[in-house]
Amino acid sequence: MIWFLLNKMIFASGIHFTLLSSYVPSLSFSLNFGERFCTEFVSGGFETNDWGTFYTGVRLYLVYRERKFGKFSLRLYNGAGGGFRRDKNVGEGLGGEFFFGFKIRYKKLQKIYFVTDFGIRVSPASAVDMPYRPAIGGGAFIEW
Amino acid sequence: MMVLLFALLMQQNVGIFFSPSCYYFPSLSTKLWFNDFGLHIYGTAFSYRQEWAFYSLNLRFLWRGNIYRSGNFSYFAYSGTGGGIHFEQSKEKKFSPSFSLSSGFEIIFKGFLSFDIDAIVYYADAYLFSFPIFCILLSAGVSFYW
Repeated sequence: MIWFLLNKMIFASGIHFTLLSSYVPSLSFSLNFGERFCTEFVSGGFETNDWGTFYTGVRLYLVYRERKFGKFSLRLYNGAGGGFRRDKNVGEGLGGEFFFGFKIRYKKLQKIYFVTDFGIRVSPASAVDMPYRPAIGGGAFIEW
Repeated sequence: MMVLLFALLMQQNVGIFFSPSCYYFPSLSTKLWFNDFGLHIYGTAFSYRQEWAFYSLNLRFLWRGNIYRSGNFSYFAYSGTGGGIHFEQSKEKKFSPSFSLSSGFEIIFKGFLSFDIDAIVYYADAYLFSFPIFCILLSAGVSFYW
């Protein structure tokens, strides 16, 4: 089982605007086991005199069948994530997210993929005082 | 565990569902169809400045009628019943079980993009409105078959 997973490992990195990072771009490092099972480590931060946010966490998701639309292919995924979030002047704590989304690839650029996801985020340290809310996110990745 | 994984991998439909049980907030929604029987799970959570908060998680068993096809569209009618939990911060009794009964219609475009609309009777003691809605309201969703 472990050997099977190790053989399927694909690394990718990119930028992900996660549901939990308040759309501050997070650096993302992704370890995918084939096209089916993906893990992602995200971390992002931003600070001014008045406002600041920091988030670091992990995301796990399962990817489903591929559908092709002309030169584009779509793969749907479902997953969950969690991590630590700190907001200046608000507080800090552990947050979580449940989401579904799409992985989009262009036929001629197979090493690049875009993701967009929709979900529910739970974040005690919310800059806009909305600890539980539906949200969207997205990002761009390069496989290597 | 394997059964759960199998169910996840065989999942056919995921999307957004707007329902009175979630105050028409966008809810994460997933439907699993096993021939003519389906399981629909949807729920959402929202809170704002300690003033208002609710969580809602619902599960419905569905059964559908014949599937009709017309060009790029296919459609069918379905009925469902189920329950769940409802939390409402502003109510004295914050947590309560919920019950729903519904009947609706689903249209699928090119076997992929699905729209559904149904009439639902929803009951939860902790529901915000004074009527715990033993009345018929509409819910609707958009989802993707996979």
